[in-house]
Amino acid sequence: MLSGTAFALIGAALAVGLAGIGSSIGVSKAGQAAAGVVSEDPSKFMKCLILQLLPATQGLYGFVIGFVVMLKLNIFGGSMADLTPYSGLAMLGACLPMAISGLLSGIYQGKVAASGIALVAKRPEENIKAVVFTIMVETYALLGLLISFLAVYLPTYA
Amino acid sequence: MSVVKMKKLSVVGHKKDRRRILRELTELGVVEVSLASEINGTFVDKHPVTCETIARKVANLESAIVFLQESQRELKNRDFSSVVKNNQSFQNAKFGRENVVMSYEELSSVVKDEYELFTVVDALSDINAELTDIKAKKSRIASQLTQLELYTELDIKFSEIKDSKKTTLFVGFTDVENIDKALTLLPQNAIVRSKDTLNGTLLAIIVFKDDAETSARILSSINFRKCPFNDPFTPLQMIENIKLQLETLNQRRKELYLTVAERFSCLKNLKLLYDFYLIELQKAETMGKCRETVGSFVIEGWIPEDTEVTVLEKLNNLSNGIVCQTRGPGEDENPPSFIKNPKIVGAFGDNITATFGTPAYGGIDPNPFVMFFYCLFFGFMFSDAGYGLIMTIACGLILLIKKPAKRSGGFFLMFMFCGLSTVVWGTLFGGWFGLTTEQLSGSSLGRFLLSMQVLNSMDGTDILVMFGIALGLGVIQLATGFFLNGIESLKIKKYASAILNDFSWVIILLAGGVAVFGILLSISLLSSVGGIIFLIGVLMLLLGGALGRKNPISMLAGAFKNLYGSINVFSDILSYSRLFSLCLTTGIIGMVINIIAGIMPTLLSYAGYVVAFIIYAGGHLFNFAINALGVYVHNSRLQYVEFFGKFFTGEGYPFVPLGSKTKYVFLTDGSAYEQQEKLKTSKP
Repeated sequence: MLSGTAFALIGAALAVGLAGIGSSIGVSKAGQAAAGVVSEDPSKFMKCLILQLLPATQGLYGFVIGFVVMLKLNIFGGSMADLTPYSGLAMLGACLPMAISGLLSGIYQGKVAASGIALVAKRPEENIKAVVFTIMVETYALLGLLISFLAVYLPTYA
Repeated sequence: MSVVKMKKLSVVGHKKDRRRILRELTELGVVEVSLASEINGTFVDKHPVTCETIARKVANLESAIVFLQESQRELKNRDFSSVVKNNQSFQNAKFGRENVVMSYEELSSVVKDEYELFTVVDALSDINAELTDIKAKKSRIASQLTQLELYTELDIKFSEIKDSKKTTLFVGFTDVENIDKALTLLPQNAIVRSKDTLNGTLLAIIVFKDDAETSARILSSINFRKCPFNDPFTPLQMIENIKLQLETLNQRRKELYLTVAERFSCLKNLKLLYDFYLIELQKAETMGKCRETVGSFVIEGWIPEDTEVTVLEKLNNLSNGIVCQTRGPGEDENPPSFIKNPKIVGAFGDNITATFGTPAYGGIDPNPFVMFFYCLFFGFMFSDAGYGLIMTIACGLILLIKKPAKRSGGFFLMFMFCGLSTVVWGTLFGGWFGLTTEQLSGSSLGRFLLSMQVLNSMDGTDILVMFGIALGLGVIQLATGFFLNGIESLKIKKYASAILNDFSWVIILLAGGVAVFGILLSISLLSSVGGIIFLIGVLMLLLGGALGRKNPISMLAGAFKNLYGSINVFSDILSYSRLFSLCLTTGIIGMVINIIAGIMPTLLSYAGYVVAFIIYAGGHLFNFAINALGVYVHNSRLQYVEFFGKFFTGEGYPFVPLGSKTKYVFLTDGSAYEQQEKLKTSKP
C-alpha cells in the first residue's frame, strides 16, 4: 500500500535541497565578487564576508522546515509515523513555499549581495546600506518559511 | 535627549589675534565654523598658504606610519624574531586608535619634539625609498638569473660570441620542440651545434654573411631568442657574480629593516603629532572661510545654545580688540544637528541611526525610540536566553576590561542591552540553548527555568500567540512612527494634517489592535469599542485625504489615495512577521544541534562524547553567530524601512566642531563643556 510518509519526506527533501541550492548559488556569486574586492584591499574582508553570508540563510530556513517535518513524522522518537497518502501529499504541499522561495530568493539575493560588494569596494563606509538592499530580498524567503512552518506544524496529520 | 538648539556666533578681530582666537575656539571645542556671510569691501583668502604646508606634514606623517605598519609584517618574519623579541615598542605597536582620552593642551605638547620626530619621518622615507630601490634591483637580477641559467652549458665568455669577417654566429635558445626539420632548411654549409637542456635547446650556428638574413628568418620561425649578453664572463662566472650581488642586497635590506625596528619607539608620538597637525589643518582651513580686510577678519560659526555664555566670556577675555555676537539661526540657514543623549541611547544612535542619516535641525531625535524598539525586537528574534546571557556577559567583560574611551565602546554597550532583552524574551519563551521542555524538566535548574516560561514555541496555540505578539509589536512601532510624524507636522503648524493624516493612523492601528484582541479572546466590549474607534480613525483618514483640495472630485480622489495607502501599512505590519520567523530559526537549529550531538555517544561509544562535545560547542557557536548577524540586519531593516519611513528622513548633517576630528586619540570634550558641567553641579 502507498504510504504518505514518503511524500512527506520528499517534501522535506525539497525544502532542504532546493533552498540549499538557492543559498549555494547565492553565496557563491557573492563570494566570487568578494574575492575580487578582497584581492585589491584585504581590509574589506569583514564587510564583504557579512554580505556574502546573507544569502546563506535560505539554506538554514529550508533545513528548519525539513527538521520540523521529521519532528512531525516522529523520526527521532523511534517509530516513524505512517501517514495516509492524502496527509503525506498535504505535508509535501506545505513544504513547497519554503522550497520555491528559498531556491529563487537565494539566487537573487546573491546577485544583490554581489552588487552590494561592488558598492563596498567603492564606498566601504556605506556597507550597511548594501546590507539593507540585500536583505530586502530575504523577506520573501522568511514569508515562505513562515507559511511552510505553520502549515507543517499546526495541523494534525494522520 | 534631543537635537540641541544652535546659535550663530560672529567674531570680529585683528589679524594679529587670529591665531590666538582659533586656538581658543579649538580648545572650547564647541564651534563649527561656517562660511562667513558677505560684507562689502572684504575678501576671502580661499587657499591660505599655510594649508599646503600643513597638509604636506600630515601626508608625510601618514606615510611614515603606514610604512611602519607595512614593515611590521616583514619584521614578524623568522629572520628578525630574535631581534624584535626584546623590542618592547615593536611588540606593543598598535596602528589603530589609542584607547586614551587627552585634552587638546596635552596633545599640543607633542609639538616640542617635532624636530626629532620629523627627522625620523625623513629617515623612514629615505629607508622606504631605498627598500623600493632594492626591490626593483632584486627583481631585475632575478630575471637576469633565469636568463643566464639557460646558458650554463656554454663554456665561453659571452664577449667571445662574435661574427668573423665572412661569417655570422648565432648563439641563442629555443624552447620549441622538434626543431630538426627547421634546421634542415638552413643553408647546406651552415655549422650547427645544439645542446638539449632542461628548458629547451641551446643553439650555436655559423653561416656565411650572405645567408645571415634567410637563416635569421628560419630561426625566428622556431622562436629562437638570441643571447642577450655580451659581458666578458662565462655564464657560470656571471651567475656567481649575481648571486653575490643578491646577497649584498639582502644584507642591506636586513640592515634597513633593523633600523626600522628601532623606530617603533616613536610610533605613539608620530600618531599624536599626526592628530595635532590634523587639527592644525582644520584650523588653517577655517581661515579660508573667514572674510577679511587688510588688518581684520570675521569668523562665523555655530555653537550649541547652552554654551553661549562660556564661549562669549572666554573670547572677550582673550583681548580687548575682539567683538563677539550671537544670534539665533535665520530662516534660510541650516544649522548642523548636535545630538545629545545619555551614553546608552547614544550607543544605538551611533550604530543604528547614524548609518541611516542625521536628524534634521529642529527635527525629532529618533534615538530613544530606536533604542527601545531595537532592544525589544532583538530579544524577540534572538529568543534564546542562554545565548543572550553569553552575549551580555561577553560584552560586559569587554567593557570592563578594555574600558573603551569615550563613545568607542558603544557597539558593545548596545549588544549588552540587546543581550539582556534576549534573556528576558528567552526566559518567557523557555529557550535555553535549544533544549526541549522534556530535557529541561529533567533537572531542578531546568524546572526552575521552565517555571518562568510563559509561551512554548513548540505548542500549537502558543505559536499563534507568538505570531500575534510579533505583529502587535509591529503595530505599536508603526503607531509610534505615525505619532512622531504628527508631532513634526504640529511643529510646522500643519494642525489639520497632523490630526487627520498622522494621528488618525495612530488611532486606527491601536484601536484596530484592541478590536482584533477583543475578537480573538471573544471580549465583545473590547471588540465593539475598538471597532467603533477604528472606524472613526478611518473616517478621519478619508477627511485627511480630502484636505486642502477644492474640487469635490479631487477631494474624492485624495480620500481614495489615503485609503489605498493603507495597503502599504498592511504590508508593513506583515513585515514584522520576520520577528517570529527568526525567533523560530534560532530555537529549532539549536534543537537540531542538541539532537545530533546527543546521538553521537550511542553511535561511537566513548569517542562519541568527544565528537558530541565538538558538535555541541561548534554548532551552538555557529547558530549564535549566524543568527546574531541575521537578527542584527533584519532588526536594522525594520528600523530603517518600516519605522523611519513614517517620519524620519535623516536630512540633517552632523555637528563637527573645530578640533573634534582626530584619527588616533580621543580628545576630551572642549573646555566649554567642562565649564558647563561645573555650572550644573554647583547650581543645585
